[in-house]
Amino acid sequence: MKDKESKWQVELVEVTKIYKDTIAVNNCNIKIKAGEFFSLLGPSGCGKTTTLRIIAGLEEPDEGKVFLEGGDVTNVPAHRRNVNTVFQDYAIFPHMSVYDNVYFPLKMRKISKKEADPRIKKVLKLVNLEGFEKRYSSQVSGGQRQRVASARALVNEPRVLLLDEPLGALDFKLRVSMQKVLKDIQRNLNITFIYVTHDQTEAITMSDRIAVMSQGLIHQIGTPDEIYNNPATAFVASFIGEMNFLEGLVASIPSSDTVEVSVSNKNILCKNNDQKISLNDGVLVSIRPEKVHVNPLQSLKNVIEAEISRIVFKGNNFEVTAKFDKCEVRSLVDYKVWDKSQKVGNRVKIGWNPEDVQVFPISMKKDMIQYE
Amino acid sequence: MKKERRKFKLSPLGIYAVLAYSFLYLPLAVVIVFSFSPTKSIVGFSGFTTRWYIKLFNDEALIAALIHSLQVSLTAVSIAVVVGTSGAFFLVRANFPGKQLFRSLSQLPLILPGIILGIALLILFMNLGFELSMFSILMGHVCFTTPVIMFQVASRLQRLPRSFEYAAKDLGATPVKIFWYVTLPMIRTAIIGGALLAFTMSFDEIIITYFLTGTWTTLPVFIYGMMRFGLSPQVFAISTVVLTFAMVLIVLMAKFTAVREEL
Repeated sequence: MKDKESKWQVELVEVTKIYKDTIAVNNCNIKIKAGEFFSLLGPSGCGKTTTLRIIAGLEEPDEGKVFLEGGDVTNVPAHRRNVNTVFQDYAIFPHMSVYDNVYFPLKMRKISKKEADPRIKKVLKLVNLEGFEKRYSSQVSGGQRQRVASARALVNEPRVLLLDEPLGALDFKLRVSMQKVLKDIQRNLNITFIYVTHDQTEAITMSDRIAVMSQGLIHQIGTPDEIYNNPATAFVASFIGEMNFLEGLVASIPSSDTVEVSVSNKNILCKNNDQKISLNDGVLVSIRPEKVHVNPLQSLKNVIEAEISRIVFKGNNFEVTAKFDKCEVRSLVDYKVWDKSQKVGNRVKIGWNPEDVQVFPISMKKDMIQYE
Repeated sequence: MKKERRKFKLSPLGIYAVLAYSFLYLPLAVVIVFSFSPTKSIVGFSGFTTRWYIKLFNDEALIAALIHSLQVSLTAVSIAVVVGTSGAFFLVRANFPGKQLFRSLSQLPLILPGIILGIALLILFMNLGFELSMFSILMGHVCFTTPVIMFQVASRLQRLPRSFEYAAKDLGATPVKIFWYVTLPMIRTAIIGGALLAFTMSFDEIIITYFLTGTWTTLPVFIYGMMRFGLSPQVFAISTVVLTFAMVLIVLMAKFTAVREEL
């Protein structure tokens, strides 16, 4: 699928931004292809918005370079970059109507109102805001405001659209429907979207590729599939989706692609994704709950006796927590598969495949997202 | 925000309000009433006349003073709008050590008793060799009207999110265009409100002007001069005119400086 010939549309090379005593962005390298839906994902304060503002030209990096379509724009001010931004608070000018807000970027390019009119109408139609031309921002809803901001940023036909948590202020249902609207716009116009969000579901469902950030560092850049199934660091593993983490020591390295980890005197066979690991190293073992089977019918390489400590009904599935020694492992079991006669306290077998288990050095534990 | 009109009810708070407003406005009402009194007596009232008003409009010296006042106030406020608005930007947007102290000091000409500012300016102008003229009065008025506008505009700027300007910049506006099309319209009401308040203060100002006036004088100083010949209904009449004018300005100012929902 990857087209090696295509030139990078946006390129950040060793970009660093320091505010007083915090490193907001730490030596970041990002390459984004034309027409890509690229997300910057991370918890608040991870540097994703600063990275976006550096691309927009609203912040200057302390170190490193920014390239747009091959040209160095590091010192080019925002108003001379062919990049537009949808701001988190939308920043709809309150003293202008919806129509005049959308006309604003064209007016700045000295395009007459007469000439601009068809373009404004076209873009308002694109975001489904026909009939709202004369309204003011105080007279439209949050979702409509979001679309005004999108229309205003799109009317210039930028090569790259930057979106800073554009749906953060909207409620859940509206957010889901706006995700579709934005994704459709991106696909229809075939322009590059760089999308900042802290919502991993949003990033995974919408993006072609995602850069996962924490404390100014990029932990991983990859497709949603890569990031979900092959997280590069324990932080990524903990931030994206649900994950079980068990602490253990490397007991043996039977082959180049497997390691055996001793967790509470039980040996667990894992995929050796970190080749630097050696015998007796402390490691974090990570398994997705949906990969953990309870009383598996098929034969699995890792099977452990455990006791059910909690059963939570979640609609289409059950979350079953099983305990062995001091370790807890959560498992997601499909509603149809789950044996409803099971109760808390029952002894069960839990098991999983070595390919579904990843190990990380124990030193990565401090970077993990801690949810109580 | 839409105001709901509530039915008027005479609660204890309402009675208190009526008393408080009576205390404030009764003397003003007396002035208005006596400006229509046919006799020069300020005790008792008999009959009704507008002759004091007619006399006013035939008093050339008084009309000249009124025109002088308008000239001084309009010019002073125009200068204060420019200086005060740019000062407000400096105060809110620039970062420098001692900013808080500077902020407080910038309000000094407004807070300082007029007599001190008046004497200070008089000594300064005398030492600089300026003659007391319209110019000296004008400078005095710029001095205390600038902080008024600066304060109004600064408090609006403080509440104004920067994202509007970032958005404008992002959408291709140069710094000058950002100011003209985005920032200025959003602080316009604060500037107008501040200017109206400053104008009212300048138009009524007497103490500073008194020190800085030569032969060229403004209306309040002229009225003060009229009083040397005793209180007369003519003084009440001109007071009524000034009062009405000031009231209109204050009402307009209140309208412009009210916090609007969209900001």
